Amino acid sequence: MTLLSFLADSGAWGVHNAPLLPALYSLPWLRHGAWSLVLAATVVLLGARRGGERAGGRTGLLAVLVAAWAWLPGPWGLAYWLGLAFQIPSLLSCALALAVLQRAWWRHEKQGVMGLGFADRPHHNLRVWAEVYLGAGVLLGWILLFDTFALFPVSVYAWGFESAAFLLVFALTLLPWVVSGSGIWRVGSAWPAGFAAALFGLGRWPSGNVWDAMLDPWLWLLLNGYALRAAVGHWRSRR
Amino acid sequence: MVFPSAVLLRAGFALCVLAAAWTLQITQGPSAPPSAAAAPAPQLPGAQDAGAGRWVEVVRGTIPMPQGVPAAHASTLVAMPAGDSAVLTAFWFAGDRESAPNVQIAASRFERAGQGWSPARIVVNRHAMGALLGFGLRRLGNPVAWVDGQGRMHLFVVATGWGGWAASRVLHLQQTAGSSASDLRFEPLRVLSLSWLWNLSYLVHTAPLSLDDGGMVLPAYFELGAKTPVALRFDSSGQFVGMVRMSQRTDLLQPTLLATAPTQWLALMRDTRPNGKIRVAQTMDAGRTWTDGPDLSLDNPDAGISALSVGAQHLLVFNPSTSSRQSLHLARSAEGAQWTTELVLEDGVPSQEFSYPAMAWADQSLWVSYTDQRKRIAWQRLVWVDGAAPAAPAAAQRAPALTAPNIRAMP
Repeated sequence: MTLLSFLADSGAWGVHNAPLLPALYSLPWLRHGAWSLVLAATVVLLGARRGGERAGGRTGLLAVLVAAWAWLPGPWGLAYWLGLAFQIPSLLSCALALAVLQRAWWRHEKQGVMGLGFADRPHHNLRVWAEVYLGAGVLLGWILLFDTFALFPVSVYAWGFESAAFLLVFALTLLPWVVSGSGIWRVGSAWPAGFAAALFGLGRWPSGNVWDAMLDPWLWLLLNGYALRAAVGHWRSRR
Repeated sequence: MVFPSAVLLRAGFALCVLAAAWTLQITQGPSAPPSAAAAPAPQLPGAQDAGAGRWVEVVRGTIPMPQGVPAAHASTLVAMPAGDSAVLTAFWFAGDRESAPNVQIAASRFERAGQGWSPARIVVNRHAMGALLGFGLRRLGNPVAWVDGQGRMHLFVVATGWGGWAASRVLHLQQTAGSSASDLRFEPLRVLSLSWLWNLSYLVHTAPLSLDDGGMVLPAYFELGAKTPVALRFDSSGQFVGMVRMSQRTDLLQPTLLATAPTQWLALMRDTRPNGKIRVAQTMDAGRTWTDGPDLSLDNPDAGISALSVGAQHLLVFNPSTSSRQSLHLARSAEGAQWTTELVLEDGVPSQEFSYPAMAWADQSLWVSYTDQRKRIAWQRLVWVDGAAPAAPAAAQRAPALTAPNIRAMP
């Protein structure tokens, strides 16, 4: 059996377990909750960029209002229209949004709020992991984008329904902790990644496909922005 | 290489967590049904030799439209169980025009007692479905119907997000519990997740291939830039089981499935190239893996086709042109590669369009429906007549619309 035929078989039906899909009743709740979290975090990030710590009170109020707007029923609510266009944010986006809100609420650290942890530099070892997370997210997004347009001979997206894909992703999110210890949780993207993978294992949100849980196109675009900024910074420092 | 004991400890703990997660997956997860063979094709009444006989049109007409609705397109037919009061049910999308905001999914039943179509009913409205789903649907499009192992009707409907058809998703609906076949109501199950890119650009158009385990394979296609077909498998209760890409090529869509043997299937597809031909992919292992095959000799004007197996015959309805949808032919094949035109279903003038055919076998007859001028859904009922075909040109073989005993032509 060639590697190609093995991979093709891995995405096919009737080979492994049927995909577990999220409970139907949970999806409207998840959609509203997810958009509410992500929108609130976006407001906080934009507020921090615009006004720094002085904008905290107004930004917080605006974030609460936008989060509440997402919960309004039917066409009155933001989730209705965002769901029409973009379905549901990934669990990782939700966890990162939670991390942003938690930092904004408890610590008011501008760098922490702005950086989503990718700009955190506790020490060299952890910085490497932050860059690994960033690189992995960017790379996975490109692979899934190319796969969407059928540029690979096998369907990468279909693998995401497999239990083995989930376990691989879960193992990879635990790997930094195994290697570097609990200090890894100071890297802002570390616990959200593990949390998102664990949550997917429990409920299979949002679609039963682990790629949808770990990365959505908006998060991927954001990661590309961070990667570009890091690359430019690196290039400038070398000059 | 010596690992610090703390690393080993954490690695052991991580393995325990992964083992627990694996156990959870195994115990939670429905076991995948094994690869199923295609359900046996319905048998032709009395015809053992498919070569000696011909298809004859018994009756034709148009399906009643919803009151005051000027446009119709993309019909699908589903045979009803033997005890049902209807022979079959037709679904299509109807509204001011294709992609209009007021397009809804209409349905009509061909009643056994009256041998006629019931008045059209609206069964899917995008606002009502959006309210149930919790998010909006911008437009509705092609419907595809299927009856599951428990006798429940499922409907797969193209529903768009922001954008045109390239922003489509596939909405999976199921007959509401307690609603009868004559009073069909649907509730949304989920939007099928088929693409990472905001789940965009997957559509359905053609009928599923029934499997011998009660499940089915639903042909679908991606059409944003690259146009690629996929097969979606569902178990007998309508649960999504998996998806497989059917071709490495990126210029074909709207696959329609034929089983040439229980585990050997063909996908015949619409060609988006100029001077197109009907394209082919095939599987030898009941849909797990697919390979591209040589094109058929039949022309295709970048238009939808429909295939069905009946007895030892494979049937195909298609537009026999590279540029026009003015004619619609029924072709027959014994093995799926060589096709001969059996009947001219429509032969219009260049300004006319007869397109998006659908077929079903019910009540010992072949039923064909198709879009007529984008204004209505036309239908024909054909029966197989044993004996040698008369030596006449294909166009002259067209039978007049008969009013057979207990069959009446509709207006």
